[in-house]
Amino acid sequence: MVLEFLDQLLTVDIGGTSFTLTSFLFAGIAMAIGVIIARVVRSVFNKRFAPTMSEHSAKNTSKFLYYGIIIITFLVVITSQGIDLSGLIVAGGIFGVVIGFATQSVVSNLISGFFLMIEKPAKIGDLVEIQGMNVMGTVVDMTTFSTKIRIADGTIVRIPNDKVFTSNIRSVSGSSIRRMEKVVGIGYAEDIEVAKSAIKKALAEKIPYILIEPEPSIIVEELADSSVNLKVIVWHPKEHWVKVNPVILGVIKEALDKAGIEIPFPQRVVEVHNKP
Amino acid sequence: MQNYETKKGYGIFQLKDSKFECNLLDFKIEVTSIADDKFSYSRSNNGKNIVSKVITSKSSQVQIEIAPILPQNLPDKITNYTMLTFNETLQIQKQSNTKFDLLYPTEIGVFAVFGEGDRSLIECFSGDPSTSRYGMYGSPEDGVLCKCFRVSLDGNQKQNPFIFSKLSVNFQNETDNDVSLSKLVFLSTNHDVFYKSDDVVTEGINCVIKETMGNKFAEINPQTTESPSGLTVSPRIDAKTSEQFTMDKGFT
Repeated sequence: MVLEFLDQLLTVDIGGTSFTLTSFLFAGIAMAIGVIIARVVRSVFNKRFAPTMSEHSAKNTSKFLYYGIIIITFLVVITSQGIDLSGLIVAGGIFGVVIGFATQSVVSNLISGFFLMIEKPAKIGDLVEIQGMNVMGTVVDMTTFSTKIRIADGTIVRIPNDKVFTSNIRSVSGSSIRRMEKVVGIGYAEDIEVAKSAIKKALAEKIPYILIEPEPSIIVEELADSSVNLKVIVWHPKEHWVKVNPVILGVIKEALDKAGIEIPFPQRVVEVHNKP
Repeated sequence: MQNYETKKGYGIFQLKDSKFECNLLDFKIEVTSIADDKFSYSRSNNGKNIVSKVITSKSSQVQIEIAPILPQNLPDKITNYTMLTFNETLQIQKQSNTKFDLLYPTEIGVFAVFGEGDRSLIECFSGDPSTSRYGMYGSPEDGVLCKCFRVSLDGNQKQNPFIFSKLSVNFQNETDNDVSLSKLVFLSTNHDVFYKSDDVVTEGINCVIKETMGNKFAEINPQTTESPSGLTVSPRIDAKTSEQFTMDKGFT
């Protein structure tokens, strides 16, 4: 009785559709139930399924479920109120074309982000290099629109997903070990085998992170202008790059110094001819 | 139970007059009680301090256990797999068994033993850090990263119990061809280490070489034998596992 009375008092006509207090109440309750269901689903997903998924996939799927349920609820409520959505669809189509042109890059990033989620070329925590953009660092976040990478100086670079998707991604975390190559030059008068032996011995003694299987290899890379260039190839566990790279050249130099092997400076032979 | 006067070897030691000292290889280990619930720990080499710690405990009753542990923690703990590469290639005749006693490196663990036997690792170190290296079993793309040790098949080597333990390996070749082996890979957490003051034994390994569809592989399992008599089981850092490892990426 009371509701009927209030309905008669509070009836609003919008675009030919009448809205009563009861319909507003129904819409409000339905939306509230939709939000509660969305939260429960998100909570159950986060507890039951998210721990078995990668961090960024779990986060994005959780958002997709939450907002998906709310949007569906909203559409159901709108339709239940007698609002005809066909007009909106036509208007939305035209509006969509306009918005599409205006937000081309946003949509591109969104779709790229979606495909990155499916393809998973890298995951959070991986050390990657985005080739062509000169960015190398650890992936800290992969969202729908962008990928954030922490580079060596501690700053974070945000790269739009369409650029990540269309770039070559070099993942350093794909294998448990990494190869490192360094070139060192020795004098032409030096014994190559003695130099190789001194370097191998020093690497084995001084840098415990260098693998003994496959063992370090040293090859003559070039008979250069001033030196015989030796390429030292070592393998190390991927996480120990920071413990090998800063010290390896110092260890090699110290070993060659101890063995009395010259690391020559660039040399040029100058012939002087006296004019008659 | 020994007291600190022993000053040598593995064992469980009590603090006497709030102090414990032990000389082990080139290291000097000192533990001093600095309060009812705190004590200091230091390890030095020729007077040069290497490690210094202050440890707190719920109990005022603290003992120190020095024991050999699996060599998986140094220089960093990144894998539970071990690869032994033999100095000599081992050739095993078809359909035959053979047994070797190898010297397998150990690390030395120093534990605080509180009240009812709760143990806390204070630190671990190696008597010969040059043995602590890594290696890859298989290719860099899909291999298994292991702690890697070079060992000799010569069973007459002298054992320093602060650097090596005895590891018994049974090889069984079930194939119809002779097999050459120069490496052995196993999951180290499958194994316990046993010790007494001057002797260390690591639980042995069974290596059974088989052939299926022309592919040779080796099944590696721990030996299921009882604890050696008179030896104490070392404290573990990781829980014991019982997973079989299959060497299917070659034996040489």
